[in-house]
Parts: sequence; C-alpha cells; structure tokens
Amino acid sequence: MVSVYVKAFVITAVLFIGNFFFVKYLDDSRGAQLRAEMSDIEEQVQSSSTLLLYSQTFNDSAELCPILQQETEKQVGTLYRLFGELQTASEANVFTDTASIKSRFVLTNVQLWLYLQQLEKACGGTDVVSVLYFYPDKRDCLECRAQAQVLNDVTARCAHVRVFAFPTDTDVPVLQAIKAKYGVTREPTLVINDKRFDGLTAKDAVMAETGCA
Amino acid sequence: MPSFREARQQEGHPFLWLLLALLVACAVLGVIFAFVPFLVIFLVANFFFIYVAIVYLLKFWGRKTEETTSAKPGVTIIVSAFNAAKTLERALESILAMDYPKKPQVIVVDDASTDGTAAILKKFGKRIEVVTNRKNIGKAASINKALELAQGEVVACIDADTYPEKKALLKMMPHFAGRKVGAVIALVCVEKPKNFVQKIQEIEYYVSFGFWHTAMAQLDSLLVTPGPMSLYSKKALDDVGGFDEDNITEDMEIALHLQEKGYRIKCTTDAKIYTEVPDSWRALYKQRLRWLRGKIFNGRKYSHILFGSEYGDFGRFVYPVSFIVEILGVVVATRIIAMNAASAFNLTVGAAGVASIDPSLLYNAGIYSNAAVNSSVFFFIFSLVVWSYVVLLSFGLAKERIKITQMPAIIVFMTLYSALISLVYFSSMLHEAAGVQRKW
Repeated sequence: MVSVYVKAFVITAVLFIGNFFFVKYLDDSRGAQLRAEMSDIEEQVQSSSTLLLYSQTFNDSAELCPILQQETEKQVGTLYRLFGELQTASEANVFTDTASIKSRFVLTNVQLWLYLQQLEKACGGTDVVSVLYFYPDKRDCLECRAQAQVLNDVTARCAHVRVFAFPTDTDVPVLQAIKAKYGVTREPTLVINDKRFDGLTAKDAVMAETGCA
Repeated sequence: MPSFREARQQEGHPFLWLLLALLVACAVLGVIFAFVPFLVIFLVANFFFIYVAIVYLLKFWGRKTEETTSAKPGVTIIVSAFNAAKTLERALESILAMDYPKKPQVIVVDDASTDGTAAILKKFGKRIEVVTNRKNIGKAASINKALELAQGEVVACIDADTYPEKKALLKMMPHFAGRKVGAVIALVCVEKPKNFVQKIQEIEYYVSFGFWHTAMAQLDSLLVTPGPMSLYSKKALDDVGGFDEDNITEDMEIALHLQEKGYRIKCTTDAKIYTEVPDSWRALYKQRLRWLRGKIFNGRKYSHILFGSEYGDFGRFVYPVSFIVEILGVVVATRIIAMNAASAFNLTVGAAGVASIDPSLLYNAGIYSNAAVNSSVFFFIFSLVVWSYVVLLSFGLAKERIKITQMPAIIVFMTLYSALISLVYFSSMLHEAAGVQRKW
C-alpha cells in the first residue's frame, strides 16, 4: 500500500502543475489582449499622422484640424491607460512577455508626442498641456510610484492635461535625444511647458504649472 | 530607571512587540531573499501548505470507526481554581450535573485565591473535596497535589471556567479502548461568544479541535490535551510523574510527555466542552503569546521527538510540520502585511506628495516583490477553497450549522486572523530569544 505521504505528494504535485498551467493560460491571454490593444493604437496613430501629412501636403487644414485634434485627444488617453495596464501586467503576470509590447509602446508614444507638436504647428495651439514623465523601466525607483499616482490624480481631475511617459533606460535613439534636449539626469523628472522638475513633484506644483484648478 | 535586565523582564505593549516582530521579520527575510527570490519561497510555501492539508484530508477521509469499550471506571475530577469566583459556581454545577453511573470524586484546589472563590467552594459542602494552597503555586502543581488524593482510574482535569456538557464523561469514556491509551480529549467550544473577538475564536476552536484534531488523532499525533477538559488514565499520569510544574503550557507538555512514553491520545468530537475565551484583542494576544512561547519552550525540551523515527508519524511528520508551517506562515504573513501597509500608505499620504515609502526599499528587503499578483492571487484563492472546505468539515464534526451571522467571523478567520496569529508567533520567538520572563 502506498503511504499517505506519497499519495498526498502526488496529489499536491498534480494540483500544482494544473494550477501552473492555468495561471500561464491567464497570463498568456492577458498578453494577447495587450498586444491587440497595442496594434490598435499603433494603427490609429499612423492613420492620424497620415491624415496630417495629407492636410499639410494639400493645405486642407481648416476642415481636418478639428477632427484630428479630437482623434488625438482620444489616442493620448488610450495610450496613457495602456501604459498603466502594461505597468501592472509586467508586475503581476509572470508569464506575460511585456518587454516586447513595451518597446512598441515607447515608439508609439514618442511618435504620438512628435505628431502632436506637428499638429499644433499646423492647426494652432490649444489649451492642452503635455506633461513629460521620465521614469526608469528596468528598476523600481524611489518615488516614481508616488509620482505616477500624482499624475493619475491630476489627469483624472483635468482633461486638458496629457501625460507622456518616457522610460529613461531604453536604448531607443529618439528617447536619448529627448533626454538630452531637456537635460534629464534623474528619475522621476517631469517636463511641463518646457520647464524641468527634478525629483518627486508634489500634486500642488503639478496642478499649478498645468493650470489645473 | 529600570536596568536593562529589569526592562527585559517586563512585558511591553503588544502593539510595540508586533511592530518589532514585523520589522525584524522584514530584516531577516531581506537577507534570505537576497539569495532566494520571493516567488520561489512563495511557491514552496504554498506547495507545502497544500501538501500538509492533503495529508490530513486523506487521513480524515480514510478514518475508521474506532474501537470502544463499555467499561465505566471510577473517575476523579480535578479543578484548579485561582481567583475564579466569576465562573466557578457554574462550572462546578455543570461538572456535578454530568451523567455517570459511578459518582465521581471531585477535588477542587483553591490556589490561594484572593477573591470570593473560598466562599463559593463552601456552598458546595460535602459534594466536593477542597484542597487549599497557602501560597499560589500554579495550575500544574495544584493538579499534581490533587493527584495524590485521586482514587479514580481515570482523572478528568477541568478548568474553573469550563462547562462540560451533561453527557461529556459518558461520551468520552468509551474511547479508553485499545493499546496504551493515556488520554482522551473532546471538542472544546467557545462559551456563548459575545463580541467579534470571541466569534472568531468560536470558528477557530471548531476548526482546530474539530478537523485538525480528528485528522491528527488518525496519525496518533495530538499536540495537546486541552486544558479546559481532558481525561487521563491515572496510571499514565503516574508513569510520567504528573504535570510539569515549571511550564507555561502544561497541557501541551503532558501530551508530549505521554507520547514520548508511548501512550496514545484519543479524540472524540461527540462530547462538547464549553469554555470562556479572551474577550479582547489584548487578552487574546497575551493568551496566544503564552501558548506559542510554551510551544517553543516545549519544542526545545522535546527536540529529540522532532524527526525521531521511533516516535512514528508524530516524530516524523506531525510535530516537525507544526513548526515548519508556523515559520512559513510568518514569512507569508510578513510579506502580505508589509506590502499592504506600504501601498495603503503610498495611496493616502504618498499621493498627497507629502512622503512616500519607497517600494524598492521593501523590494530589496524582499517583502514587496513583483511576484505574480495574478498567480499569487490565484494560489490564494485556491488555498481559500481548501480552507473553506476544512471549515465546513469542522462545522459538520461539531454538528453545527453555519449561520449567516457567523460569516464575517469566518471570513476574517480565514484571512487576516491567520496572518495576525503568525505575527504573534514571531513575537513569541522574539520573546524567547530576548529571554523575557515567561508568565502563565
């Protein structure tokens, strides 16, 4: 007769392996969902910038500007939400490959930001304020979580504030260029209206600078 | 100013001890996690918890009907009373009201009480024998004193705040059947739980004295003969020389001692014993601190039983596992408490931009980790299912139905309460390490 200890071990092992695959399945499906969302937003951004290119080429901005501005507004919102989801997923899901999605995210994010500058030149300025948020991706940083929380609070309160999160430790050339342009040396750093704020910036200061009441 | 030695002898505030326990646990774990990632420890701990639960479940499911005896030997009931005026009268009334074919000898030891205990004892006149101590000598010594006068073949030790059901003796006695039975224990229940602390303990008592004891008894491996009421064979008690008088958990010590000498302890959940339990968190903390310190103390005294194959399942599995589970419990509880406390702090104070706890500090200390929230939540739910099943089984054993009003207590018992008790366990380890005086 097999001893109860051996029997229990086998049952536990089977349960455990079962659990393992179940968790892997959950994580994988989450990853697939994130990738799909990413592709979606990539397509949208590309579509908008192509439209802008069209309007610039044929000087047809009057008609297209309102549409583009409205579209962009949505895309920035979606991308920032996706940023949050990615952050959570990279912490919460062991089996999800978030790294590849993240690098796509970074590029799209930069693209969107640059496109926004173009849009402002073509269609004129709006009351929208962009906040650049520099954070390290590969290590957990002092005060960054608190900073992210502050930014979440501010964007929740003021629709005209847009946050672009840029990881400082990825070797995407354009990110290094942005870092150099603003002289970012530490994290977290915020750039609001071309003004740099080093270290954790309190909610009041962010709200004052962005004109968020 | 008290000297350092004197200061060490004093019991500090429970909260400060728990905080210290949490901090030291963080530091110790930090060192461990520098070498082993938390995820690994978390999975190992989970595997172990589930494994232990399944061993006991298998034993529980496969339990056989026990052999019983119809013999009704003479019984001596021993009650040690110290300042028990509030509960003693009712306790003695229920003890004297117990059904039994032979009239039991009842010995009450008044352990130098300073309240109305003596007056209450007088009321009972010749129905009980009274031994009065001039000096307070403690429960174990008082029982030993009464043992010298005991004439019964079976000795029932009952606490002065415990009310056994009418048929308790009749239901427990048949289990003195078979080879070398040294003691028989019953289902200890909480007497009329009034507040939430007591309601949680009600669930806890059902689970530990119901399911766990039934399963452990299948392996002949009970860790304790509960102080509220246990029956002992007089011969076995004489054989081990009575209770250890220098022990803060003498009911645990006697169980270990009996099993060391090859006696078996049997368990029945038919007989219910109702006892008073702590009614505040502070009192509960003090009680548990005593139990857990007693456990560590006795663990040192009986360290030869740990992994000793000559002690069967008890030495090879139950006794060592009872310590390993507690230590792993400390690891998991510390992480859960520290992580939740830190994120609660950051979400309130931190978000206001005032100050924030750097999670990387905790991360480096291994407490906060990026380990699988999804995965760990899943394992947590899985454990919760097993746990719920155990609670359900325990209510079945106690022949009680779960009332809707008991749900909050059950939920807290299955989640926060265990984490809290784990911290008390760590606190008791610190107390032992620091050499703070043991108090009954």
